[in-house]
Amino acid sequence: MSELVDVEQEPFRVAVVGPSRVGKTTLLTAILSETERQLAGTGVRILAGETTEERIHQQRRALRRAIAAEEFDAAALSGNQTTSLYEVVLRADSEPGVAPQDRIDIEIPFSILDYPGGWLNPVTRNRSAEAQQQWPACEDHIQRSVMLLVPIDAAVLMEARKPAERGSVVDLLGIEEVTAMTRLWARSRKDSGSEPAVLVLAPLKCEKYFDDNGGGGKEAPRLRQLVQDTYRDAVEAAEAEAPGRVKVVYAPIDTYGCVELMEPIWHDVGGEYLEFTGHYRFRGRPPRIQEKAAATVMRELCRSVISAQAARNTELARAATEEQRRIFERRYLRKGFFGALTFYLSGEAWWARRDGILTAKQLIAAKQSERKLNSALRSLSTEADDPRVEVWQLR
Amino acid sequence: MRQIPMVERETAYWTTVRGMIADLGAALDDLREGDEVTAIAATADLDVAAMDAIAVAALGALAGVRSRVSRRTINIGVSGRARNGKSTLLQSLSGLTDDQIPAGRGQPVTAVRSSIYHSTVRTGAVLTLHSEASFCAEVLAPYHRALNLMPTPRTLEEFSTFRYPLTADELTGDVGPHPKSGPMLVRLRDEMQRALPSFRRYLTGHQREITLSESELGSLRQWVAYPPATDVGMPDRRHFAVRDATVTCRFPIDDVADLALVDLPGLGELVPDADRHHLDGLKDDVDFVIVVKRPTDTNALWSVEDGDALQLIIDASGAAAVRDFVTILVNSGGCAAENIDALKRDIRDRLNEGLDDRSYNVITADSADRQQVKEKVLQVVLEHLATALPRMDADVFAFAQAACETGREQLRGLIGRHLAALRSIHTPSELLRLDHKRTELLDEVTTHLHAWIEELQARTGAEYADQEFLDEVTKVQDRARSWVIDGFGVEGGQAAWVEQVLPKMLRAAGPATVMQNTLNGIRTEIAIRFNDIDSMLDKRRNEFWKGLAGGLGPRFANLLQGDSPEEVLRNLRDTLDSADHDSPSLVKALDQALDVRLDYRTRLLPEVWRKLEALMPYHRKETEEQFFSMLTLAATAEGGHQLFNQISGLARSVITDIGGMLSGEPSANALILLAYGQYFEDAFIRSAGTPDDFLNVTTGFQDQLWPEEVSGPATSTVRIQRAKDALNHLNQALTGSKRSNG
Repeated sequence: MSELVDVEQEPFRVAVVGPSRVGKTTLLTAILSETERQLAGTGVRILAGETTEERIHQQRRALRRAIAAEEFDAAALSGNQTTSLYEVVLRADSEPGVAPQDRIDIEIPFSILDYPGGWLNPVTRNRSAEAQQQWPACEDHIQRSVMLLVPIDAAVLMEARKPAERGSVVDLLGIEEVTAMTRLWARSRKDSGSEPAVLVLAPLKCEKYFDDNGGGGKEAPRLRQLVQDTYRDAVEAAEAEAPGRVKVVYAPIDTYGCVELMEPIWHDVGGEYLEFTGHYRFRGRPPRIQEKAAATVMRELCRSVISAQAARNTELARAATEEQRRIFERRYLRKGFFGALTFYLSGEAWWARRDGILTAKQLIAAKQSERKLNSALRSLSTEADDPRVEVWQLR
Repeated sequence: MRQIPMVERETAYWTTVRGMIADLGAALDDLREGDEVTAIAATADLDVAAMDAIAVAALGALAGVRSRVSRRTINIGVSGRARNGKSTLLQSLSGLTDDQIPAGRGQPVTAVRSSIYHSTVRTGAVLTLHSEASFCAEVLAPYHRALNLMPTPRTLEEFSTFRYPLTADELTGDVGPHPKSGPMLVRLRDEMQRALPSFRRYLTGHQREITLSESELGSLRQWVAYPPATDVGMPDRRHFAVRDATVTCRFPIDDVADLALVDLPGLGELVPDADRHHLDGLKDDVDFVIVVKRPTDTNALWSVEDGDALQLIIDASGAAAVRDFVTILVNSGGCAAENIDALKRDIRDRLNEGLDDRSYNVITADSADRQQVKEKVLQVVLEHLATALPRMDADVFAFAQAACETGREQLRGLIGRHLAALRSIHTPSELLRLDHKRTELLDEVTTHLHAWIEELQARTGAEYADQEFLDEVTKVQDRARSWVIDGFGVEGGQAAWVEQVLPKMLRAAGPATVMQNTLNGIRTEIAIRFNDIDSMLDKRRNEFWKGLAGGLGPRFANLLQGDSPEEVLRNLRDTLDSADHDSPSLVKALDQALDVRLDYRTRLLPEVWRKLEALMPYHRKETEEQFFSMLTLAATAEGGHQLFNQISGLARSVITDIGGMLSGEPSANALILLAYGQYFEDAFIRSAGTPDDFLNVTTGFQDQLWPEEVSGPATSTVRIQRAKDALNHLNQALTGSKRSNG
């Protein structure tokens, strides 16, 4: 059982690559909010870790201030210079009637790492002590991630009308870094057997371009085309590195639903490319936050978990001999995704964490939570996709 | 007479040849003005004047034939030195008397060349008088030249006041021996100048004729003869005013019709140019000449002067054999038989080389004896002419033919070598030249249009930025945005706007009406403000036309006129359309190019309006909630500000969208203009009618399209070609004529 001890702290991992201030915290907030709504009544909650929770609170406070002031200005995009780890858990609470001392909360942790794309370049890494120190951990995280999430500033893509503006898109969205990162991630996915591999291309700030969430935009096709064109290299790199393994999900997300780009502003600050900011306005009175398609990220994670579990069970069922079963078990008990899968979904996690002998009540409560969590996961994963979301078939 | 058509044909032919020689002369003059040294050298010794002289000689020979064969009378000239009985013979033959043809003694009497026609029905005379100018030029000038007296008077006034030397000794220069110059000076000074008053009135400004009736014929003498020496005082010398006299009377010879006598004065007279006058009288006008010689004691031998006079006649006989043309009349009247015999012997021995009538027929008769004249002279002459005239006619005709043929040979010889030399210098034919020009023009237009199309194409590339256009869009956008932010045009900005709308909101107990009206106003205003982009579209269209005009290349540029590119192209279109030679394909291509539509209303307004629909409340279900939410705003100052923020935010979004849409316009424009350009290129240089149209343009506008070729290599080519053509035409005329006559 030594392997089980090793995987105790192992969360399901997601790597994020994209410029800072593209709205990652907002995205996470949106993901949490929408997922929360969808989990309503399941007895399963989605919770952020302490640091993550604090970031989310800050972001929500800023939004409230902006609504009050009726003025919303997004920060300018810039290259991400530091790492941020967002921690999220899906937690199945014990039944209401269970006494506090008998409660056993079952949870699945997700770990979302955002780090500078520039660190992929050894030369850049060598210039930063932080990079040199943190890179091994980052690389490990990337290689273990079942999902690569690429947040995209839709406004940058859509509002680049003039040649100089169009010429700035590649730099502003860090396309080179995204492509390199995708290649690295996909390569590790190939090496990790039948583990899931989901690439999510997530345009953010899409309110202006769609007419399905209170806006009047009719530019969804143009956005899709621009994303396809701009991220073609990244998508092709994924397919090249892990043929037939990567699922590419296109998920244009409204992180607010009530904030719409009013005036794009391109600044020439003397650099190699133009800087982009925008004037935004609130839609509706009072503005009401109404995320759209944000739950896609969580849903895809759940699907990865569920489909992997099914695959594992199938393989085990096919194993004809005891010896084969033992080999499979050993493989699945290794660290990594399948280790985590077994650990969290089979109840071993709480079993391993126990501080002694469970009482019968505790055991029952734990089993109930386990069932709820599994049920919620299945429910989330089988929820229909938002109509905006597409799975792009490669080739 | 049968020769007449041939003579007429040949005359017309040689007249044409003379015209061609003149053309050749002009072409060679033109060639020599250029700088084509090879061609100039090749034609350097081509003597056009000599060629013309050959043609003139041929025409002269033909004129002789025509004059002979078309004459209705037999003209017998009577010649002879003074005092040999010439006038007496004329009297005997014509029946005229001393009153009309004086036959005085002791001095020359016949002053004017006269022709006397036999007519049984009419008697009279016609005198042709000199004009003042012809008198000066034809009568005075020869004397002045002979006597070296300058300047020759040009008017009678100058003549009357001319100071002549008193004696011939005072004459200077080469004026000949005194015995000749002295009498001439006397005649000029004493007879003409002094007697000028007696004939001045007949020298009018114009030549004119005086007709004398039968009854007036008696006065003829004073018109044609010197006044008698017996005249005292101012002699009447009106004969100086007479240029020519034609007398018609009934000859005393019944059996002769169509006979004319020509009195040939001058031989042996001391009159300048007498010999030339004599020849002029003989040539072409006389069929036969009787030379009268009266052997007196001092004039019994055939003298040198007689020989000289005879030679003049021989010279004038032209093609006719001398024996057929001349006879010598030994005027025996009043002469001693010894003298007569001596003369006849002398003529036989020296003139006829020992044989009677070997070269010259000799008749002996008394010219005063009409009977003798009739029988021995006239009848003999007429009998001779009966056989000699056809022979002479044939001779003259053959001579003319030979002259024509010789002329042709000479001309062919002259031009042949030069033609070969010029032909060796290559020049294209006119058709080929025009075809080359057409190709040159088409190639030039093709090249330049292609370059222009490439420019248009470059502007359609993703990387091409029409910065000027984009800047203009930004400006228009910024102005519209400022208008919104600054209170929708209300002076005082947002606060003033709120102040203005608040009463309305209160009256309506809500913002609905204000919202509706404001949005309506904004839509109109924004649509109008973006109209400013029209100037940029107009500019691009003008640039397109300018580029197109430039794309036609430098030759077409010579046809372009106008202040604006559009005017330039319209003028070109009209020029081509109104040209003598049609070029419909080119005109159509220009029409289409001029129909480029690139204006705001046509191109952009529909798109702009689609964007403006976002400012229509309740227009779209997806956005109506935004408008419903505005209706909940309170009719307070705060509500007014919130309404402003909501509406202005929407308006700014729309302005952004329109600006974004317009930012894509340069690419769209570039594609449109490229399409127009390519369409024009196709229609202008590749349509089925293009080759013909370009040939027509080349033909019709050659001078404008190739203005530099007023001089230069191409002009040299034209000059050489012109000289070649002139020589070729002449050569063909000469060669073709030979064939047709051969």
